[in-house]
Parts: sequence; structure tokens; C-alpha cells
Amino acid sequence: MSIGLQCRTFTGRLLASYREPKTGVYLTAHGSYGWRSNITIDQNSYQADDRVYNTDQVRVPNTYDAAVRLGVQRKGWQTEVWAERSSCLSGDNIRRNDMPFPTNNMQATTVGWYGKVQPRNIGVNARVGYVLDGMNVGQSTSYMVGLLYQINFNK
Amino acid sequence: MKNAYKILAIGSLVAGLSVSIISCDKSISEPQRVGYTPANVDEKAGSWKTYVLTSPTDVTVAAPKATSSAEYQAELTDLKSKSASLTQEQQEAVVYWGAGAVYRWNEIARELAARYNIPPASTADGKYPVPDAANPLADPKFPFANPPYAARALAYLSVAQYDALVAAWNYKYQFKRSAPSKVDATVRVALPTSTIPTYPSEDAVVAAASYVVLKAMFPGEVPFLDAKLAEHQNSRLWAGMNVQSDLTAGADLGNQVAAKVMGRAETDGMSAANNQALTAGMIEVAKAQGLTEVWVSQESPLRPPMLPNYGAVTPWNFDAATKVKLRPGPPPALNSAEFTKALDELKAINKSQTREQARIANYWADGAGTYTPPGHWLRTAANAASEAKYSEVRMARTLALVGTSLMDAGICCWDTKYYYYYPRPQQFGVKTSVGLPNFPSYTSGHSTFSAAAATVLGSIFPDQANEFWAQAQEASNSRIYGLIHYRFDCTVGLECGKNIGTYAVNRGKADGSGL
Repeated sequence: MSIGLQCRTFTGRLLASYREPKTGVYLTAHGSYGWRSNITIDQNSYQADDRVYNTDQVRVPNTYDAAVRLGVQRKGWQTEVWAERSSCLSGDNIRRNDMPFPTNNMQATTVGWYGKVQPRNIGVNARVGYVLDGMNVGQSTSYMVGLLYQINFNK
Repeated sequence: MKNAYKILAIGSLVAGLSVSIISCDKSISEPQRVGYTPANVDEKAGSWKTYVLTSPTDVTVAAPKATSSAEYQAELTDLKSKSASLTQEQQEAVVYWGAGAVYRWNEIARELAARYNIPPASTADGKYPVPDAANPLADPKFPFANPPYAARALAYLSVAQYDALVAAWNYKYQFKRSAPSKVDATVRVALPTSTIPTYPSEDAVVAAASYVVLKAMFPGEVPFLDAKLAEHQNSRLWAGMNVQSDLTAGADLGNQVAAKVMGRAETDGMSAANNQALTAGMIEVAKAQGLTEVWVSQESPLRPPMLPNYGAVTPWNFDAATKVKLRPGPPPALNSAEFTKALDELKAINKSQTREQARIANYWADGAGTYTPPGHWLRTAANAASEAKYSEVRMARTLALVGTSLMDAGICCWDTKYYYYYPRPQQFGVKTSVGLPNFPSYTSGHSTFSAAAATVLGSIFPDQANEFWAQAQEASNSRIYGLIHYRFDCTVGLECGKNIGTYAVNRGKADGSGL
């Protein structure tokens, strides 16, 4: 049906990480700011911010996210727990019994676990996330399983 | 630093670049309307034929004080002080309302229609509660401003504005009290002026009449409407366009006319439009005509059909017997070759809808959360009348002709839909890209509304008739591209809408305006 919001985006990200060398325990914090362009829709009128806009241009809210990750990384494997807050910086709410719209102020606090086992160039990873709290998003539990294959160009 | 604290800071984009992007302009440009001097002052409009009033003298307006009187001079002094210097907010209000009283109140009504165009959500026990006019802000909000509801609200709004303005024009040219700035050249005016007498004020007439109608149609919006009414009246003082007695007389006239117009609304049959008890009988009638599979709701839980008895509401431009004559013949039998061909066309689009077909389907969808197809066409009508620099009364006449025709189209189409109770393509495995309306298929509401409006607009603006008709044709096709109507729903709907529009056209030709 619709793939993404069709807007141009630019993201700036800052990341800080510390890893204790002996144990491989690490703590990472990162945050980003996302700028999103206006979009043009097929209709020449739409409702947002409790009013009707008589135009086909739609302002899509900018976003930020911030996350902390605590885990252990050793040779061949990694496990971590993480918490992430992602949110729009403005926007409106989905109206009762109506459809979502690109102007919606989507906010979510998600916690989860990530793990990776990669003894050689082949490996697997997995991720589980659960939305603790939010607005204009579904309270979902998400699962991801991946197959990894590392191509080593240095050898 | 080996084995000691090590901090990695990675910026994937340079900070300066991010800042320059963040400050990028995200403002939205909406089409702006500004005030104008009407191309024609329509000084004979006081004799134009009204809808609900039998004559302008059905309502009364007190004779104004002479411009030489002490009372008027005191009003002028007050006006000068109010219009001498304006705050930013006051200036914006002057410009906003200066675009036109009828224009703005129609826009406000469309906005309310959009805000209230949400079907009630089902409750935990699988029922759909009916909106309650006595408790409009409870869930579900009253009204559910679906296309038939919006068509009716907008029609009554335009009729009240038109009848009130015809009466106002009658009194304006009877009393001939000039605009304050013509009486006293030192009055600072912020908007274009004309020779139209200002007692009673057409702005106050339209504001009061619109307020009464919209308060009845959207009873949960009284504070919003109060604020609009006060701002509109004040904007005329800030603009130096009307003295207080122009406004007081106008508000009084507008209130009197709107009360009479709402008298018609109370007895037009709308209160029985959602009579669900009638559907069993309607289904029997359809089956007796040979329909093998009747329309059923595709929602879960099953939603009762939208306003099954709206077809019994009193039309504007013809009587109930004519309505039955306007009802088109039956749709093809479900086992006919014609039906199979129409369904196959939808299946083909279902498989490979083009981007252009999707765009057209979206553009005209005007579904939940929008001002509906009647609102879409009234926006087109109001813009055309504004571009032609129509006076308030001629603008109101245009919107009343289009608005009543749209309501007539809704009534005829709903009568047809529930008479034939024909199933939607979704009952035969077709998907939809625009949301499925919860009522029978035959005929297409979009096609009927659009053809009626385009026919009326084409008569008022003959040089744009082809454009309007092309838009109606596209709106009609959009329902095929959106996969929710068979082609015969649309072609028959267009034809029927054209016939309905003709009644409003003929009324307009005989209303004494000479237009």
C-alpha cells in the first residue's frame, strides 16, 4: 500500500561507548536528530492539527531518538539489553476511529534484548523488542532473527 | 591510554551540516483569498426568488437613523476609534473575513463537516452506538457528518445565507444608507469598498444566519462558533466598514431568516433518515425484483447501513413524485453478461492498478475525516464565484443552487441505493484501495453528486462548463479505479445527477436574477 512517508530525511547521530577490556562488558549511549521534509499527497485537502488544510502539502514532524545499551562482547559472541526512546518533535494525534496520517506525533519507549553468535565467518543474531509506552504507535512485541556471513577482504 | 578509559564518539554527520538542515523551511503554502470590490452590486437582488421566505417582508428591519443624526455621528466616532490602529491579530481577522462572509462561513462549515466525518467505533459487545444530538461531544460524537449529512448541512447553510441576503438587499436599497467611509471620508477603511448600502450589514446577516444553522447542525461546536461570530462582527468595525447599528440590524435579520429556514429543517424527514427498521422491507422489495444476493456490510462487526431512509428526506428543487421518476432503472442481474463484464473490469484493475488510477482514486476519495464530495464541490463553487468577484448575494445564490442540488442528488441516490439494495464488488472478491462505504453499490454517490454540481456550475459559469464536467467524469471514474463501484453504477449515477442538476439550473433561470 504505502511504503514509508515518502519524505527526504537527514539524520545526525552522536554515540558514546565504553568497553571494559578484561570482561568485555560495555555500555553504549546514542542519540540522533532526524529532519524530515514536507511531502505532497494525492488529495488537495486533509485534516491535521484539528483543522483542515486546503493544500496537498503536508508537514511531517522531525524526530529524535535516544538509547542506552548494556552488554557483554567477547570473541565470537555478544549479548545486550537495551532501552530506546524514539519520538516526533511535534505532530497531532490519530483521531478516534480514524486512520493514521503522516503528521501524527509517534512516540515510543521500547526495551529489548539483542544477541549475536558468530564463531567464524558464519553466525546468527536475534533481537526482541517490546513497546513499554507510547502514543500513536501500536504496543507491539517485535522479533528479529538474522543469518550473518562475514566476507573478510583483508585476507 | 592502552587498557584505560577509552571513549569513542562518532558523529555520522557534521554538526554544522545538521544545524543548517534543521533550520530548513517547512512552511506550507495554502491558497490565499483576499477581498475585492464586487464586479456587480446586484442592486435588484432584493426581488430574487427565495427558498423558504415567501418575501423579504416576512422579516422586519427597523428604519435606520439618518447619517446626520446625533446617534449616527456618535457611532462614527466610535468606529473611528476602533479602526484607527489595529493589532496584528485584528489585521489578520480583517483580511481573513474580508475574503467574503459567505465564502468564509462555507469554508468553516466544510471544516466542521471534516472534523465530524468519523463513523462511530464499535463497542466491546459488537454494537455501533448512535450519535446523540443531546450529548454531542460524547463518544461517538454527534453528528457523524457523512456525505448525506454534510450535503444537508451545507444546503441549509447556503439557503439561509441566500434568503437572508435577498432580504438584506431589499432593505439596503430601501433605506440606502451609505457606507461609513462614504459619509465621512476620514474613516479609515482596511478593505475595498463598493456602492452597496451598508444598512443592514451583509456580513452581520451572513454571520448570524450561518451561526444559527451551524449551531443546529454541529451542536458540540458552540464555543468555536461563538468565537467566529464575534470575530467576524468585530472585524467589520476594525476594518471601518460598518457602524454598530449596521451590524445589529444585520444580526437581527440573519437570526429571523435562519429561524424560518431551520423550521423547514426540523420537518424535512431527516430525523427518520436512520430508521434501521425499514431495511428488512427494502431487502424484500429488492429480492422481489429478482436480486439474488443483496448488499451486506463488509465491516466486522456488521455495521448497520448508512442512513437507509435518507431517500425520504424532502428535496429542494422538485417534489417526492419527481424523485421517484428520477430514480434510474434496475442494475444488471448478477448472472448477466453485463455484470460479469463490469466485474471483470474491476478484477483487471485490482490486479494492475496504475499510479495514475491510484492518484485519481485518492484525489476524489473524500472519505472519512474529509469534508465529503458535497464539500469538495462547494469548495470548487466558492472559489469560482470568488474568482468571478461575485457580490455576497450572488455568491450565496451560486452556493445555494449548487448546495441544494447536492442535497437533492444525495436524496435521489440514497433512494436508489436502498431501492435496489445492490451488492458491492467486495462481495465478489474485489479489494479496495480507498476504503469501502457502508451502503449499497448502485448507483455511485460520487457520480450523482458530481454530475449535479457540475451541471449547475456549468450553467452559472458557461465558459468553464467543460472543465467542471471533466472533473465530474474523473470523480465518477475514481470510484471504479478505487474498485468500489461497477462502471454501470457510475455511468447511471452521472446521468441521474445531470438530470437532478437540471432542476436547480431551471430554478436559477427563473429566480428573477436574470443570470
